[in-house]
Amino acid sequence: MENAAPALRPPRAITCRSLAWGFARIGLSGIGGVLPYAHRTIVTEERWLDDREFTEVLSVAQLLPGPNIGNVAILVGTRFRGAAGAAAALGGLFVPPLLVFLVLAMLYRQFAEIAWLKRMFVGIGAAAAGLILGMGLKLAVALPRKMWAAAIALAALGAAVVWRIPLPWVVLGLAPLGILCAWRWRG
Amino acid sequence: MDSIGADPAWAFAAHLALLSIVSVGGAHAMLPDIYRFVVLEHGWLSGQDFAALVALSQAAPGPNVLVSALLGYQFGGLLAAVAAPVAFIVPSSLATYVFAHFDRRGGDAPWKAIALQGLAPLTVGLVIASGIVLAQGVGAGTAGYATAAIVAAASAFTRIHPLWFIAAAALAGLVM
Repeated sequence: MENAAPALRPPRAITCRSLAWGFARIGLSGIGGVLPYAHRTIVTEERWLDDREFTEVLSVAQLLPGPNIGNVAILVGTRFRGAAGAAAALGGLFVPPLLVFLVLAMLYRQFAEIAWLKRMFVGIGAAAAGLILGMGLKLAVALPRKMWAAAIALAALGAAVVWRIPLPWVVLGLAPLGILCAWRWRG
Repeated sequence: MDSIGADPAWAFAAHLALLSIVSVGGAHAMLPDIYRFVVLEHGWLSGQDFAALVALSQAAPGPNVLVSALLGYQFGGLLAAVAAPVAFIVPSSLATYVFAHFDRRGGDAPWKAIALQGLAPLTVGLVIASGIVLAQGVGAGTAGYATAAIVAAASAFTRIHPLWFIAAAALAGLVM
């Protein structure tokens, strides 16, 4: 990234309309997660951010509460067009796919009781569980090899699966504890 | 939170608004709590329907939080299908906007890296919990757990597109 010329700025002005349109493409493109498409649209195609800026925005988006991609939309929108830009980016990101989801919701309600479809959905549900587990495994492999990290991951797992503790308590307890551990045993 | 009213649409939206403020690790990390609220506490959906709708949301283009629209529609109609994602997105978005407003330039800070490291194990635990809770919800016994385990291993350690797993599992479901 060092030798990339600093002035590879967007080919055209960043307006609320272009933000909405860009994030609409991101929102409608992802199957099983939209983040890879976000990088392609924001960095490669629209050149709103360079690679380093994108990584920074993404890490802040992950830190703040809420959906990561939604936070990326707000951070990028605000940076270029303030509150209006944030609203435009957020609207572009969520409204078009929401319309798709509404149609799917109606179709499911209409047809899910058909016996063979119901059986297919049992299989699909198991696959969805597997896909999410697989994502969890990938994330687990990337964790720092530290006792505190394993302990917190297991505590969160037990709280959610075994003890069924409401999530706000789990987060309020384990998030500060995790950050404290990461700071205490940093490096 | 249940005092908001008996109407499932509003109760669901109020619960999601609360989760929005404390959400870490994306929508999938929130699923165990949403399952607890919707399936176990209120019985608005069966575990099987819950898992199927999560699957449908994964097979459709769009951010993961929109699963709340699919779920909400089934027991709260169009009102819940719109109110749920809005409640899930708006509170956290306001917080993010306030942050973005004061941090326009962005930039690296050591505290960001440390905070990210500290939150990562929590996310991992919750996402794995989400997979387990969904597999329980499917209610297909050994065959269901086996399918989930195979897909988990294959998707974590190969680069096969997720849609193939969903298609294969749909066929497997016919004979399950």
